[in-house]
Amino acid sequence: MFSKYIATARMAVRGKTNGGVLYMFPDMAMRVMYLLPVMFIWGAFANSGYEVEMTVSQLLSYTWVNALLADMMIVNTCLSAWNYDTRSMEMFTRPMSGFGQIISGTVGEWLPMLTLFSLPMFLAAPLFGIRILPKTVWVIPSLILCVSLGFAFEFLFYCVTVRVRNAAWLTCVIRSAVVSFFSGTVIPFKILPFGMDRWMDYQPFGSLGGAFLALYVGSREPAQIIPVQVFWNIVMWIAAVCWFRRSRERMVSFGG
Amino acid sequence: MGKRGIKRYFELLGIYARMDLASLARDGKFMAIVIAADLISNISSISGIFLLAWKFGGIGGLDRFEVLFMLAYGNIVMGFLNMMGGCNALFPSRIIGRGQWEHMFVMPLPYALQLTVGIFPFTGSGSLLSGLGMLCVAVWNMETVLPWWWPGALLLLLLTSMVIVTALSYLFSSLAFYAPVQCEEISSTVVYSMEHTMTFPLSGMPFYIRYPLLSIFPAGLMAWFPTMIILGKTTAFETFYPAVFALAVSLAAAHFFRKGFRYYVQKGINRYIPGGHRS
Repeated sequence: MFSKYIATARMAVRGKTNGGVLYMFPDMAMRVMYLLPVMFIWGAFANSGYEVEMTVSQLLSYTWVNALLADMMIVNTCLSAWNYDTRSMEMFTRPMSGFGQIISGTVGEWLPMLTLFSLPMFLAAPLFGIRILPKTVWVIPSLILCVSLGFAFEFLFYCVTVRVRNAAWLTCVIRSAVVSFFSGTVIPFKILPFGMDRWMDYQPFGSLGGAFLALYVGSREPAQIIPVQVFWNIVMWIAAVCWFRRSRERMVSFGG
Repeated sequence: MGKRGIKRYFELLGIYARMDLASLARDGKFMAIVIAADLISNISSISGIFLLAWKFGGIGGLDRFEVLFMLAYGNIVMGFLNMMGGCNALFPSRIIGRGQWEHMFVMPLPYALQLTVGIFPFTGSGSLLSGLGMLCVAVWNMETVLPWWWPGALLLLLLTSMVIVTALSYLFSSLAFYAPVQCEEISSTVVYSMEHTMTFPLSGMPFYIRYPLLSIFPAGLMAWFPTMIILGKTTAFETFYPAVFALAVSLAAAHFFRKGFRYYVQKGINRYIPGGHRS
């Protein structure tokens, strides 16, 4: 039953690496270039004596783990690209569920980066004084819920793309900017001003990477995170399945 | 580009602007959503750093509104480039990698003209407008007294930052002549990564972080360093650094892009299968 999905994932791995792993290097370099300034900002806060609600060690781990698992913290699939170059049509010609194709293909695309970048960076973390082990084993269900919710959002944003008559770029711009702030993956909610953390935790994007990372570094308790993640997963998946079924017949695709 | 070419360039910009206005007029409601989305996304993208600056009274030696000035500067740079380069002119590796470079061979226009046309002044200016708005708020509230020459310096530095981003995009796009499939999106990777990284104030960071971000991966020249110049926090010698860097990277881009182009002319590309789809 799962062999076709495993085959899809394997194809995605090959698609990512068939030009040679060297071509993945720019992406890795960019991740490091993005990681370093954030880490030094936390260092600058620590040195200047500001009172921050999280310790520097927690902030550094938060940023480091986010860089390692960036693909999972905010799930990005090929759905938005597929709709403008006609490949989304092909999705309906295969004897597999649309959800299964997208999820297995995306997971396959993650694997080379996880193996070649995340694993070495995970092992290297102690050399830079980064505490890399999670505070609780609840991070495992939290990560699964985070990834699952990320896929639900992907399908919802895909439906938005279909409804706004294929304006994939528009969806992509809103999605990347809004989600990156409201997910709390770059700036933890706990250190935001005006008591914003009190409500940011409970908005739907807050159950993405930020929730997992807060649990990972121990700035939040599992009882605060997991129920909210479960709730948003149920709500968003029901919405995604229903809306996807209703939207796919409206799909229009051009290009090639 | 001769006199006639320059005239044609502005004529083409006019045509693109009219087409953009037509799209706005044809479906105002939809285009209003597009513009609003653009504004929201821009404000979201800088809000994290600004909220941190607000909470802690500034970051790394820059106060709250100096940080806002820096973020506004970066938004203006990227906003203007996105408005002018909407037809992938800012991302030439896409044109090359998709095998569309050949299409330009048959057009009765010089390459430079074809690459630079494409403007969306009505629907693509959200980032630029939000940047200008933030700049006004920052200048209005800033405690630092800016020198009398700051508007002129701002214009020159904005131009320099735009040249650097564009030149880097073309420099890296040269690789797409050799590896079109793998490097199709290299220019967007470079530009978007710089766009994300430019929001960080580099003051207070150690030299081994700051210097690479001003040279190897010059995201610091897109907002932070020019802001420091305008705020008078650099030496006279450092003031000229962005211009010198822009010149050097432009020359490198011109050299390697021509070299890649020559390779492409000899080897060609075939990314389209007979059915018309791209491989």
